Amino acid sequence: MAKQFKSLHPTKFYRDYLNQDIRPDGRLVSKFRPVIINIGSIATADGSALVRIGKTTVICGIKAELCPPKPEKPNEGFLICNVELPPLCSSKFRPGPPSDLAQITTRFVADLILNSGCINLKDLCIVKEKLVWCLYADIICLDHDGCIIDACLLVLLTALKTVRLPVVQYDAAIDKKTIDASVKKCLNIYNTPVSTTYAMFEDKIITDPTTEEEEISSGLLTVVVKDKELCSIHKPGGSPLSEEKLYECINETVNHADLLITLINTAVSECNDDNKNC
Amino acid sequence: MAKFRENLITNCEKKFIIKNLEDHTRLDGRAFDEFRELSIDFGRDWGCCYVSLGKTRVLAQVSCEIQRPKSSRLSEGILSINVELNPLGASHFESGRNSELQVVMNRILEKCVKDSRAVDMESLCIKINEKVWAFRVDINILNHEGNLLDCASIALLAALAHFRRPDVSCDGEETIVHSYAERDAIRTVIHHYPVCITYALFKEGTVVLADPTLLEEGVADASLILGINSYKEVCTLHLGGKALMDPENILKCTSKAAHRASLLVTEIKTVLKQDDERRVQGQINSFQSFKHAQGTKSLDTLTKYLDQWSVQKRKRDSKRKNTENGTVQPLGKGSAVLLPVEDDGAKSWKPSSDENESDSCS
Repeated sequence: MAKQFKSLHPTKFYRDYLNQDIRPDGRLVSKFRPVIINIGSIATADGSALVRIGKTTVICGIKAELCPPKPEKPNEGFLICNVELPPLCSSKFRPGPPSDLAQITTRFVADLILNSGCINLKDLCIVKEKLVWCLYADIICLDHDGCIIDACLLVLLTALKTVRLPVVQYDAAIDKKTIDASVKKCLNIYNTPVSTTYAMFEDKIITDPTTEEEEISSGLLTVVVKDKELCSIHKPGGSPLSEEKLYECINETVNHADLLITLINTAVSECNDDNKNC
Repeated sequence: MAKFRENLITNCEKKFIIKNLEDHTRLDGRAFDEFRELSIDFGRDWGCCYVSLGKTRVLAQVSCEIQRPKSSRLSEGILSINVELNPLGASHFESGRNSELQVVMNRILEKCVKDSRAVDMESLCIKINEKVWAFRVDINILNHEGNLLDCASIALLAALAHFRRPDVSCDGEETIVHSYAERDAIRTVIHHYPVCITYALFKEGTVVLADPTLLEEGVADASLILGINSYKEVCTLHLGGKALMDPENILKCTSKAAHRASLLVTEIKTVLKQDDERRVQGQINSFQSFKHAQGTKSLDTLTKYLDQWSVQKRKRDSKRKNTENGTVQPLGKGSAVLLPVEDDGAKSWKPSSDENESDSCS
């Protein structure tokens, strides 16, 4: 019966659950889904990670290339993010040019990485005006079940932490590059911005919504924090939100961010331990 | 998303307009060679210009960056013009797609301003074969009520003339770009001001209307676009549509357009001067005309509403329980999992088999 009721009256179905402070998947309103991180998932990439938030799965591979810098910023490298939402991840997406959601997510994640200052593009410079690193970060969604921005940001940050770049010697006089692949060094990550998405449903705020909940909600809110500081808020339209509720969401994100950062660090140290054993 | 079609003009409307033209009247009461009211306005930033011609509105913004010069012209800067048609201007415009109108407008503006060498491109060079300034002008159509091209060309010129690029100095190998605060910004050198002037042709080129509205454009047989500067030099001539026109008429239009062009250029120069004076006095009030426009009253009420807009208190504002506890467990081989802690309270609840089924089906 529940199935038929849900397809006939989806809003009523959710309202009945939420009035009891519970969600159809058994979570409380303010409960997060389990998060799994795996790093070094792609052996051929220079840095990679896979993240699952509930059923949402995204994978990120970072490829480094050498290129000349822009004349405007001769001592800065590049970080080019691209989020792909292929038809594989959800029936909502069609093959062809990137959907609006994919473009919005790409832009949001790219802006956030640059504005939060978590990496310094000057670190990617090898020889000023001549040679810099260009990092291509391709984020591909394998399964879309809500909170795509959270997953993309988490996977990108984790992948950036695993990037190992070889040491390059450049002789400008004869334009010769010598790449020493035996010595690899990490990229400096200065801070870790992490985000949490909330969905507004009538007078309730649902933490970490699934696709179904996102679709039925009257608006979404993404809060990004770094080092216990607010970094960005993304609220694309929807119903208005009271100030207190916003503060609650921010506090909740700050608390959850600690856990996520511990999670990333645990995964990274696990990987390092393994490498030592080998 | 729904696709909007361009508004069709009915035969009755066409006949009505043409019949009126025979009686020497236009729907808005203008004379045949009369133009609509023009206003030019500048924003806070350099090179931000808002032009309205009747109800047609256009916003132009100039931006610059340092680039490598084109290999064919090593000592010249780059100027690119980019007309943007989005659904804001007219519902049938599609964003992010090159329509024919956009390509035509882009090309005519390029012919008018770029190919007539109105902007001194060599002064935009920083170092030959290495660094030049690349200017990009984005022209956004905010409202389409006919004669987009005139409006866009005025906005383009005024924005270019208003824009100032940051100063650059060379220190041996290095190029230092000084910010606006550090050093006075540099104006762009503009040799002459070519503006586009559009005429709509009716009845095989015998009736010529200046500054056509959207409806008139739709009914017209053809349109004659002239790019003319204040020295009465023709920079562009574009005759689009299907009408024959004898040379005498074209010459007549050209001399009328030349007169209009010199008026427009004087107008642009006066407005630029006024803006300069305001900036010298330290008042950088962007978009002056908005404040004096008819919209002032509604803006005031809106502010009042916004002031009184307070946070709505919800009745059942139950405090959210903090359940941020979770455990991080390493799984080995570079994996880790974050599990939320299960509450062992009364709310603990497992989906029944029925719901499981519905979950898997949905």
